Amino acid sequence: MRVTICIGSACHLKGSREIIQKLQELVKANGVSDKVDLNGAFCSGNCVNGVCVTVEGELFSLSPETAEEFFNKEILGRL
Amino acid sequence: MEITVDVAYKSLNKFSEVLCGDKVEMLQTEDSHILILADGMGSGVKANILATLTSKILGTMFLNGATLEECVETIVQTLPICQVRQVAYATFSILQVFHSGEAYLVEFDNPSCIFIRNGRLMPIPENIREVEGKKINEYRFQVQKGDALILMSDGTIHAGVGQLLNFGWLWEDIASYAVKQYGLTVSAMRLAAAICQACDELYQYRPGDDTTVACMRIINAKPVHLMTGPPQDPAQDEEMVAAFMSGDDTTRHIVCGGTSATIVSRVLKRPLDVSMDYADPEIPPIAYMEGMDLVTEGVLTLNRVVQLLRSYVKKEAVSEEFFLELDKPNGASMVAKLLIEDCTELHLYVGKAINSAYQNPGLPFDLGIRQNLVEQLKHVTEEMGKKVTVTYY
Repeated sequence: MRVTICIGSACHLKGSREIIQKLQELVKANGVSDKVDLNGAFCSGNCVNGVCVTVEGELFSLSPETAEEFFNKEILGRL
Repeated sequence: MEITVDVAYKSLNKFSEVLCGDKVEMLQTEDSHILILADGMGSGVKANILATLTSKILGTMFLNGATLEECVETIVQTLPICQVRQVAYATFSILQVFHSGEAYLVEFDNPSCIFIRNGRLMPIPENIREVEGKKINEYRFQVQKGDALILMSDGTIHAGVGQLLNFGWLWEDIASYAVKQYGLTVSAMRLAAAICQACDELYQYRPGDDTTVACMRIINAKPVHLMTGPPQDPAQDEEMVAAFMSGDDTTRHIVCGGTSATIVSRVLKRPLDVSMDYADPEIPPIAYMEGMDLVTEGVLTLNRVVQLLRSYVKKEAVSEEFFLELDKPNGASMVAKLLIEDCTELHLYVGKAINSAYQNPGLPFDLGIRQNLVEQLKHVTEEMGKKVTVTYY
């Protein structure tokens, strides 16, 4: 599964780095490194909301606080 | 073949002095680059005034095509006379290199210029002429790509005198150290900084004299094209990318901006590979694209680039630590390093589109300042003696 996290200017200021760190930890802790492919991406054109994250082409808006919930629901939930 | 130069200098002030008694001028005419180093007698304010007057007179008169005789005569008649020593005195070196490769060196009482070609020291023949009672050495020669020429004040050869070294750092020893550093460094600034650093160490960080090393390296022109920001009208995407991609195989290409990179990727049909490695928590990661030397995020990165270039232009900050910062693998250090060390002319391609999401007062940083940043980038790069052009879209 391909997951991309926007690291553009606006998303960076809203916490891309923390989200990437968290997702990387969660992927490792849940032992799904071989199934989840985390990638960086530039602007997805939805800068108004939270940090842009896409899962299989579907766009989500995250904040560092909602990263874990998102991981459980949208990533683990789809595997 | 047209050549150009990379020129830089570094000075150490005599211990406890606020002003430096050495002065360097870096000038450009239509067809040449001029480097002047003057060393005023004594230290502190008096020396600073003598050196400044000397270098400014030489620079201004040379720029206007005056002969050496006229320049020296003017200096002799202008310099204020020291009440203690009853003389007016400043030593100087002038190096003029034409785009055609012709070079002209004039030396008066400074340690002789160190001339390095192909990793070897080249002799500078003695050809003394007396002007206004001053014995001046003149040398006309031809430079070629790769040559390095180093002008110094006598603070270098006095380094460590009576302390670590009996007779100071001998010219021959400085020259062989310079030859070694010539092989280890690429830019004029690194070479000048390395020699200055060694002097500082020999002085045990308390220089007994103002010490200056000015370096000129002969290089081919190194144009850098930098694109940042999407064009105001998306219909101009292709035109902007085509202009940005122009140049020959010596031209470096940098894209600063996520949206800009996406546009370049789309127009050129080349995939964009965005990394997730945060080399620096404040600077977003870089990306990779075939044919691009660097792809980075936009305004946050450029903001840091401007800060780095500013501290470079303010000479005090150019220490070993500065270069360590420049060698870091984050986007901003990489852009700054390229602009400082591997660029002779910068062409900026700037999009004026405004991202409405950036006009958000909730963001901790004003992202709507691209054009302001570009202006700052232009000025600071010009201060480094490089040519800059800006094209807006």
